[in-house]
Amino acid sequence: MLETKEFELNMGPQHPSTHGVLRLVLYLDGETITDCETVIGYLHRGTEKLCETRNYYQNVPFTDRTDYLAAPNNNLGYVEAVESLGGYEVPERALFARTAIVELSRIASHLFWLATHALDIGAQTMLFWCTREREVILDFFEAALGDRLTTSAFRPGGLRRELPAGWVEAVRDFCSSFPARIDEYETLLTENRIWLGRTVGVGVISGPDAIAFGLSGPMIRGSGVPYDIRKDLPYAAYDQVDFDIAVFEDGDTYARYLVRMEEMRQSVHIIQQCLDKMPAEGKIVGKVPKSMRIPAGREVYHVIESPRGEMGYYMIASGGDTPYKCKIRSPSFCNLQCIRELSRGHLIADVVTLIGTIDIVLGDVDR
Amino acid sequence: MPAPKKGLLTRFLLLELLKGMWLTLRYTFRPKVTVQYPLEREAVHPNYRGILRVDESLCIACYLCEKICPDNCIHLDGERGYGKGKGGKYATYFYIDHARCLFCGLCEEVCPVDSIYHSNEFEAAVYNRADSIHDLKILHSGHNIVHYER
Amino acid sequence: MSDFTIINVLIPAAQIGVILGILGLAIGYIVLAERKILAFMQSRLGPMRVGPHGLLQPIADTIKLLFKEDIIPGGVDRFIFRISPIIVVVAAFTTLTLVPWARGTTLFGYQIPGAIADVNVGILLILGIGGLTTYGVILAGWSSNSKYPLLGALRAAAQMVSYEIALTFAVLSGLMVAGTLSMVGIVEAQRDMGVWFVFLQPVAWGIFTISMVAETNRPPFDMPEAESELVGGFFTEYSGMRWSLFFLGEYTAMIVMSAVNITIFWGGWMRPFPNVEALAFLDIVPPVAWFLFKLTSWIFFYIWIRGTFPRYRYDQLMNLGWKSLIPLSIANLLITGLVMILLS
Repeated sequence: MLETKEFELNMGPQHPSTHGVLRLVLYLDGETITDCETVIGYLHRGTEKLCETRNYYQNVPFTDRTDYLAAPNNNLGYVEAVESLGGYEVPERALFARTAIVELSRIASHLFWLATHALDIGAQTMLFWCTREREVILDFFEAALGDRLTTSAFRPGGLRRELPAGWVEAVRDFCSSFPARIDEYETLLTENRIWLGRTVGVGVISGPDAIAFGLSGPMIRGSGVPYDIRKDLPYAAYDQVDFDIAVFEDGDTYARYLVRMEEMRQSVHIIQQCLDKMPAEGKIVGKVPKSMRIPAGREVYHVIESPRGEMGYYMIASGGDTPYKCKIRSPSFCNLQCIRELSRGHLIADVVTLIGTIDIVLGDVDR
Repeated sequence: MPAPKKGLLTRFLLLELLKGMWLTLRYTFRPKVTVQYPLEREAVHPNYRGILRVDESLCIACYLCEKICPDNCIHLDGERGYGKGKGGKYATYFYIDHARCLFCGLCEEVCPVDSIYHSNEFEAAVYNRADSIHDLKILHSGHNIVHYER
Repeated sequence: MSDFTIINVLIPAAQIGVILGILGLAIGYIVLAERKILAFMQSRLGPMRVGPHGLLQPIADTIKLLFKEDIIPGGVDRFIFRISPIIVVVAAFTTLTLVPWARGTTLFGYQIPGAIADVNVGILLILGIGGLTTYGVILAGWSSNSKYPLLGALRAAAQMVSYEIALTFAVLSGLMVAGTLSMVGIVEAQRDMGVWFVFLQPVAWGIFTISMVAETNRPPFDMPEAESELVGGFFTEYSGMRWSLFFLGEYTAMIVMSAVNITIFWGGWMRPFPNVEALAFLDIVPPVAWFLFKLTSWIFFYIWIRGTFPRYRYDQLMNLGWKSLIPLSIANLLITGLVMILLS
């Protein structure tokens, strides 16, 4: 008998499909994975500590840089946490505008997820088709928020500035044309036997397991748990719009793919409602003092549904104009921990699929 | 949702694959979206937060931008004097390190006289790290951008 | 060899020169075409900078590759590392000599054959020599002394060997109808029978087409070099000219496999429906042009499926090969044999 030994493969931090600087140490038997060790921290910038030394306004740009694919979502989570910490009012017009912007950012984030996920599985064309539509959304961000990626979209009390003229109409046009694009993506993937082979039954996680792991977002909705903070703990204007939660039962990569595709359609629906219900006139920013002195001891945990899942901000006021503590509960970090369970018994090619389906952003994991 | 069940016919005729191929074939002849960047330049929206500029004549050296900047990339000092054609304080030196700048727009928002503002220029690449630090002269008149020409 | 004259050497030598010269350029332009067509499918423009619409890009690429620093990483087996790209290229180029590009003609009183070498076991030689490519790939992965190339090489070994079987069985079905192993003979058999074999052997053609894509390691079967999993597969450690030799080998293999497909199933250099008199006006187009037209279509097909499909997983690829294609091809072979016995 020849002696056999485990093959140890170091995947990342420099690897084309670890979506950033994730490092995985894979222990292989042939091409089958027996164990997988996750090493993170290559992108740690100490955002939470930085937040303690900057005032409430100055922290907004830092939140852009955690989950940089869905910056408006992070901004919203932070800003709403500050608002409930200080008890500030937000005008209704700003609430609807925020909801529309955040849903646009959800579409942009899901598009880029689809682009990279499909690219990892080898469908190169999806990358360019998805980024093409994402570019349109980024143009909207550029016009309304001032930047394409690191938007610093909101300020406590509302939006940073009035929406530019013609913006609402342009977004409406996009919303009416975008569902046809989703159909095109689905033509290439949803029924394709290669795509089915690569995703069905890969990385199955049951509903109870998903809850035990603390998964959230599409990861848990793909396992049949209808948990969506937009419905369960409505924030912004989500209690005034009508939409469905996409839930699929199987808990595999294909189910999560279907969840995200359906979420994009629902987002279009939400944006249209927001634009219809948004008051045409009125203030876009409420009254918030220039120097926020929030009484010491007040604390708040505010969660929003980011494209990746439950994005939470736990903040304690210091009495001055800086928070005493700003803890970020990032969905990528919590979702990533299940990769070890998911990858056992799968092949190397599946690890790439799993990283894609968890939809991590390393800025969000390491903060 | 289980994978859609397929009949024998679809299994062998690869219908869904052919549908995908038909779509990519049609795309081959559709208009393209590429912008040939250095040759063609799309106009950025006026709201875009580009490289910071300072209007020297308006600045009253109030230090608000220096104070609000989240990563301390603005440094200035001023003195009281009447030589600049306008009473009150003016900036004697003003440095912005664009390598550190977050382009968050807080300084623009906080400026009481709209002296500091984001321009629409976005080409800030430099060969030398020191060149990314702009002094008052560059901030006022804009840094030298050589546009690509064929 | 009583009638040996210098001309018997000169004509093949000239042919080799012409084909290699054209091929060198053609591969560059196939790469450009691939980049362009993929770009068009993806709403992009592709290379645009070197020359009008990027038409001089292949030349720029070649110059760049030739002048790149020749890096041999530490710890590699130097001899094997150097020899393996050469094996790939030599094997690929040798098979080219057996491809019948056109009908043989007479020029200045000399017989000029359509293929450089019309060997009576031509198809076997193509499959045999083509199989040598696998060695180049395995040795490249092994000698690199690195983990990703090793995995790529192992995948390549398994994939190329298993698809060779389905490929050969599919070819056999065609050969049984033709009754010859010579590449020129196969085309002539199709002329005599008046029908392209794709209409007689559609299943064999389907199997051959799938296997040929897998055999040349092209997407969606590009396991050995799957860049999103194995970084660069078996040539991760290669760079510069050595790397481009693998590339050259891959594209030559694409051309040869397409040529074999055309020769066996699509009537080689013949026009469509060679025996229908009503279409005789199509004979204005020279045979070599028909061949090149068909070749271009197949190259487009390669690029087209690359632009459309995701990549198979390694085990699914093996399942497809062993559980579907090989049984199907054997069944097809048996049915072909039975029908032939019944008809004769």
